[in-house]
Amino acid sequence: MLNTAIIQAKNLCKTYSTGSEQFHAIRNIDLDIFQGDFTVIMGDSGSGKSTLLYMLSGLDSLTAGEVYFRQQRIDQFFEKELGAFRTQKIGYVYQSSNLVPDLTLFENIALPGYVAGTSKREVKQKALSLMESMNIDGQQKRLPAEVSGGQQQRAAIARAIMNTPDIIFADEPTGSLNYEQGVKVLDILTQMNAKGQSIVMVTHDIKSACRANRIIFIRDGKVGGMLELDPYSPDGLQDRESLIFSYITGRG
Amino acid sequence: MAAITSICLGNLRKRKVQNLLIALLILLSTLLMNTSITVIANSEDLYEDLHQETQGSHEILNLTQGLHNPQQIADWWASQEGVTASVLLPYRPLAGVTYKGEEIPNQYLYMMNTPDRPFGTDELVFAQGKETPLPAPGAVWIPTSLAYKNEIAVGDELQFKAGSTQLTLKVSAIVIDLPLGGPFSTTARIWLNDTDYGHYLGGLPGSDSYFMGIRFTDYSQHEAYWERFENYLGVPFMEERLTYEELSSFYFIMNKIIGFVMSFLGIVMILVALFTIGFTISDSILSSYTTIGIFKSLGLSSRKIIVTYILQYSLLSLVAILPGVVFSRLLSRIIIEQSLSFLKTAQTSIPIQNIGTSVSVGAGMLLVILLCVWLYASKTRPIQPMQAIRYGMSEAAYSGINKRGNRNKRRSSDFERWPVSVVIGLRNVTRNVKGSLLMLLLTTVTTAVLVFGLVLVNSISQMQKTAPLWGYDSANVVIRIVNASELDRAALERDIRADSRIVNLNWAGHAIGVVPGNRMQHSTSTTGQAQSISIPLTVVEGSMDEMGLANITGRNPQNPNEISIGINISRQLGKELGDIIELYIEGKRHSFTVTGIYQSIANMSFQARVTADVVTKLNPDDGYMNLSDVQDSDDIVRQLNDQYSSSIQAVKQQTLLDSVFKEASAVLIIPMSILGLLFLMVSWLIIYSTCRIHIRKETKPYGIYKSIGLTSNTIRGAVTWGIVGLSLIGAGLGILCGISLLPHLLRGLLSSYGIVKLPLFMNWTGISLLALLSITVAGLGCWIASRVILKTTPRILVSE
Ligand SMILES: Nc1ncnc2c1ncn2[C@@H]1O[C@H](COP(=O)(O)OP(=O)(O)OP(=O)(O)O)[C@@H](O)[C@H]1O
Ligand SMILES: [Mg+2]
Repeated sequence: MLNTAIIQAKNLCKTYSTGSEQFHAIRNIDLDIFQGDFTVIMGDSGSGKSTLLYMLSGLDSLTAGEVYFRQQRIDQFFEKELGAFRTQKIGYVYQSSNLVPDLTLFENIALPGYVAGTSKREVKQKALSLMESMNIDGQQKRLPAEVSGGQQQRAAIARAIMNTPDIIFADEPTGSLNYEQGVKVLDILTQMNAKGQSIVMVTHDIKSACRANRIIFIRDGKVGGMLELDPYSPDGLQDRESLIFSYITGRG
Repeated sequence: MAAITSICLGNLRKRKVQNLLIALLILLSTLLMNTSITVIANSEDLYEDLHQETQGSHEILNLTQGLHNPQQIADWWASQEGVTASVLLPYRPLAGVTYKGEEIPNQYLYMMNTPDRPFGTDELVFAQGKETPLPAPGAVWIPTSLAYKNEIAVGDELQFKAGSTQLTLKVSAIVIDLPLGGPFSTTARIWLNDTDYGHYLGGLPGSDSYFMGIRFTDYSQHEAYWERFENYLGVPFMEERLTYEELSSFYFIMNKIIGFVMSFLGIVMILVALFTIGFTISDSILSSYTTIGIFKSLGLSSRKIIVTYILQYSLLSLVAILPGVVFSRLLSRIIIEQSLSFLKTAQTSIPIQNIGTSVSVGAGMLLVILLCVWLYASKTRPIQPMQAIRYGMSEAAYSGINKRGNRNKRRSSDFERWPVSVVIGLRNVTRNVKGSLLMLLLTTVTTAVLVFGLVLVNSISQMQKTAPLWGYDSANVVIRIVNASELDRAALERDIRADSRIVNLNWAGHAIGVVPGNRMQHSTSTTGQAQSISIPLTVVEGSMDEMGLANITGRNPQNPNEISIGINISRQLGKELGDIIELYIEGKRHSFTVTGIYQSIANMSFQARVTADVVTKLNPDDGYMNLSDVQDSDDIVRQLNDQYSSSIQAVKQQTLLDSVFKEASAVLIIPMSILGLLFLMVSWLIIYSTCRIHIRKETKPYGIYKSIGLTSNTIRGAVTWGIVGLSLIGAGLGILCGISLLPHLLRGLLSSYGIVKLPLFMNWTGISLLALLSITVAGLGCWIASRVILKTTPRILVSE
């Protein structure tokens, strides 16, 4: 299992055109994401982190290049295959929770299960147990607007892992949360990774980045550097933080 | 003010599709309302004007039996103050007319001995051909009703049958004969000069009959004149007397039906337009809540904000109402020219008047719209700037959103019961109650219009199956005796009875019955009338049951003292089943018991049926035959016509009814199809735009659905199936309206025309197909509107 690539990107390009102007957000990126890693993507605002993440995960189209999920080329999937891929293999967590506002927390979490066609009983069991592990049990019948931001984000994580995906993509999952709530969410992700879950997370916060065992730096749409770390543990956090910090400043 | 106009123009520009749609709805409502009003008003005006211009009669006397002295009658009326009477117009009934070798069916023809013009009343208007004082030798003038229906032009030759003589005459002019040449009329007066008349018809046995027109300066006084007239006669007037209502109503019946359907739909369309406007304003207020709040905080008053909306919609309405009025005048012209083509001359098309009415319809529309705008726009009044800027909505609404969960707590999850796509489709409908109601209403109305149109046209086209309920017989073949003197009737009957294909034969003809005025009797009776009434009688020798004559209540007369009466007779005389009616027939007084009441379109149910025992002279004399196999009709008709060519004329019933159907459906089909298409279009547009607005509001959930693996087509399909389900309900309701509610309303309208039961024919295949059509249109509208979903990439979820 050592260092098997789960996602491979080759010569990835993304160009946005606004009117007559063209903006090259991602320029010729080659990249591997490994099975079981907690990968973090860092970079300045506007450097192209989100763009990269959504291309890697099959949420957005490419301008050029290739993306492979376990040797399967996903950027040429038909919509139907892409749909099945999203349902089965991938989980997403966004900066804001992006729950369907008029579905209850339970329904939001169970939704991917229903879409996958899992039996209703199984879906119910799984959703309830996920809510319990995310510490939001008892809120099943609440609407997203009726719970806190942290609870929403945990519900979003529960929804992301409903179908036990092969890999989770998270775009600044703590960005809209206060410190305590943010830490709770990061802890959950870390625990999941410890059990073998592959995770790719975008962040520009060094504390969050500490959770990773591999950090990819993006600068102006290109890979600006890469940092390999030991698996995360709460001890030695200070050192880890300064290591990352010096890496960033050293290069900047 | 600059601020107001800038918001106003901004609003117009920003919601292009929605504003276009509203403009279109206003245009169409104006079109329908104004067309219906114009059609109704103009058909009456057109008729009235021509009636005025031609010195039209209010009553026509038809003296056929020699029961009174014609000259004496003419002199009396001519001598009255306040009355214009025509000269006597002598005529002979003709037996038939052939054009290009084909017998024209279903026509009673009168060959007139044209007196010097003017006649005094009912002056002829020349529609085609040169106007001359009298028809030239060897030439005739024929009425527009005969000419236009059979596409006869000036210069064509017609063969007339009069007794045993055949006369070939050339058409030298086509004239508007207002009293007897209206739509659906089966009579035609052919005008010939005196010399030719004497030459061709002088030798016929019997004597001339006479028409005479009476025009009152003050029509409301006509009963008083009649009282004096009958006093003068000393006996009731016992010949045929056609009243103003009978003479004029066929000019209006079709346009009334069309006008009725159109104004009904016009009102529906206005409601739809108002609903859409309200919907749009509420929506725009909600979405620009913050902007309005900022404007308010800058000191713009609510009143000024309302004014911007009023201004915006005034502009929109003006742009829409003007073409609406213009188009409606074109459409009215088409409809009127179709239905009142007989009043059209070659030189002048039918004038559409009443600019005034159109202007007031337009102004009325504008007023209603602005009132609606004002009502909805007043919602901006309570906007509190701080709340608006902070929440983007009112504080109440804001906390309302956060409280909405209460509703959800009751139900268990939809997803546990149904598949995901069903839930998505369902939620698209239930989350948008107002919009869904609007779409439901539209599919209902559209289906109703289509189904009703189909049922109406279908019922008319299938008239031969329901003929008895429309007042016709149901015989398979009819023979008309055109030359009694040459016919060996006994031989004919023997031949027919010997033919095993023919099941039965009964004879029927016409006579006039006169109900004496009851002024000499009890004047306290409220239903009684002061003067006598003349009733056209169908006289049957044989069995009415076999002929297929039917009643709405009661049974056919079987005995000499029994009578079955039309609904309008029953109403006018206040007679019901079992009552006694006194009638003069051929000058003799009889008393009848009412055994049945029936309806008939031919004479607006103003007629009655008696057995032949009470009548000696039948005119004309028709034989009604039923066959064991209808397929044989053609053979039998041919055979009879060959064998007795000089004395009878046989026709299939199909041919007779076809001529009625052709006229009615031709008039109805165009407006009904236009209406159907209009509503299909509007319902497509409304569903398209409503779905579009709603789906745009819901892009985020749809993005989420996509990110968890639903494909665009799955979501579009789900949303579309939701709308299809909704329109299925709408179509169901629409079918109900189309086959029961609208016919019910129409029945109310036709009741005064003597039709109280509509023998409707449901063509279920057609009805299902039309329902399917409106469902398809709805589904298509939604499917196309959901194209936005294709373009939503889940990435939009990032841009928060
Ligand atoms: N739809 C778009 N059209 C044009 N340019 C875009 C579009 N989306 C993103 N961009 C540009 O592409 C660049 C990369 O955007 P991206 O969202 O990936 O940045 P990011 O690294 O995630 O930034 P942040 O940390 O602020 O989220 C930015 O400069 C942005 O302005
Ligand atoms: Mg980003």
